[in-house]
Amino acid sequence: MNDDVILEYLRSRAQTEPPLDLVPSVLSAVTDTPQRRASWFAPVLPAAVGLAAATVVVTLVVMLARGPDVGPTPVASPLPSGSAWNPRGPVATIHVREPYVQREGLPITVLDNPAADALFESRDMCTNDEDRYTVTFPAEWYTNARIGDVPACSWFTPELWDATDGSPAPDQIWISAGSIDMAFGYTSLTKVYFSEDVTIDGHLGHRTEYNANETEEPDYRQYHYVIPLVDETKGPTFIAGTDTDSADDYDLARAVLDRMMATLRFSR
Amino acid sequence: MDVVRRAQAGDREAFEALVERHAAETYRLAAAIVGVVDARDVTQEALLAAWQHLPRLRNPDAFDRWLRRICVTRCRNWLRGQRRDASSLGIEVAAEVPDTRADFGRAVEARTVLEPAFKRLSPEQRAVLALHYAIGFSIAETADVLDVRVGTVKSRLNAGLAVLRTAIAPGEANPEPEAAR
Repeated sequence: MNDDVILEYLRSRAQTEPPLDLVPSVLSAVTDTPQRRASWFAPVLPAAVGLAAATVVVTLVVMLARGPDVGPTPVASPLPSGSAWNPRGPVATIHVREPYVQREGLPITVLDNPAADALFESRDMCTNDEDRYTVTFPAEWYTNARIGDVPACSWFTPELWDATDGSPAPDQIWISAGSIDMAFGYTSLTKVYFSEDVTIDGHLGHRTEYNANETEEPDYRQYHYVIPLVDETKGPTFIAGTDTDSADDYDLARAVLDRMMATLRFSR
Repeated sequence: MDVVRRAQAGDREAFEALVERHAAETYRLAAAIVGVVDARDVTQEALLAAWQHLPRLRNPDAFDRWLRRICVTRCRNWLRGQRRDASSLGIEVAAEVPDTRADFGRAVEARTVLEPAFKRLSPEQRAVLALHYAIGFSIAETADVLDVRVGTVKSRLNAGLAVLRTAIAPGEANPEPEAAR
């Protein structure tokens, strides 16, 4: 009897007709909205990298304004003539805007974020066989199996997938990770908010918060770990990152990324 | 599926045909998960997201399932946002649960008890109950839409039903209702 009541209630939830203005409002929104045609690595890499992918080396260079008290919005300067590029990227700490803390058992400091700590109380591990790494992530989150050209363990998000049929880079991806067969640096147009060296599983790299498109999107932020794996001038380079467009909660995404990178292990 | 391919290529008229074809079902699925009050906004979000990401759909034959998945994801995001809002305002969701000693003989009264209990379910539990019992998908079809295992669907169904049973009959244990199909 009670189950009949429950079933009747559940069925009744879908026994409704859409409002008459639903379809017109959708079509109106579609008229004003372009379709997206990004590559799978789009959440991690600035568009300029995709354009340069055919070249051997991504000649993105940054010349950083230096000083102990740069202020909240340090301005990148153009490279002096003759300076080709900076494969290590921004190696000096410019302005650490957030408090990093040392958590017991983690080899690197992480952004202080109780919500991220709570998420990592229950963890899963995944392996990316193509890029040859393993990493742990919150058990409540999702990662991907291989999807077309995208190897497993490349995307991480607290949300269900929208896509399984090779539809790359759905909006729901908060964090992307993977390797590129090239070096990685920063353009002189990149605005860097802070950067510091980190050593991940014996590899020296850096984590950086920056905006590669400051002119058009001044509030945009990207937070990346960049780790040269073999030759810092040629690659391959491991990159993992998040940004304000990809993550609904950018602060949480950065903090989770820190904790993931603390567990990253390479097998190459 | 030619209409899907044309829409993928940016043909807005083709996508309009898809919207006309799928809006009602998408709306009902959203209503079953988030409720009729929010279903319109969630459906609009889902259909707009489908338009934006349609070029990335590699298998046009899978459009129906793909759209349902987008709808479920948008519902889930919506519910998460609601919970964040409720939390930030200090609202106790559980405080909405009514006195469970009420008379459950009539459907209206049952709804007044089940509605707040349903709201306490996780987005994942809501989704499986909605797809299986409200929309009428089989367990296998529900698993396919959600991209989870059949066993996961069953466990979420059981967990969700247990909450609803407890709401209308505290202390009683009932067998699983017969599947919708």
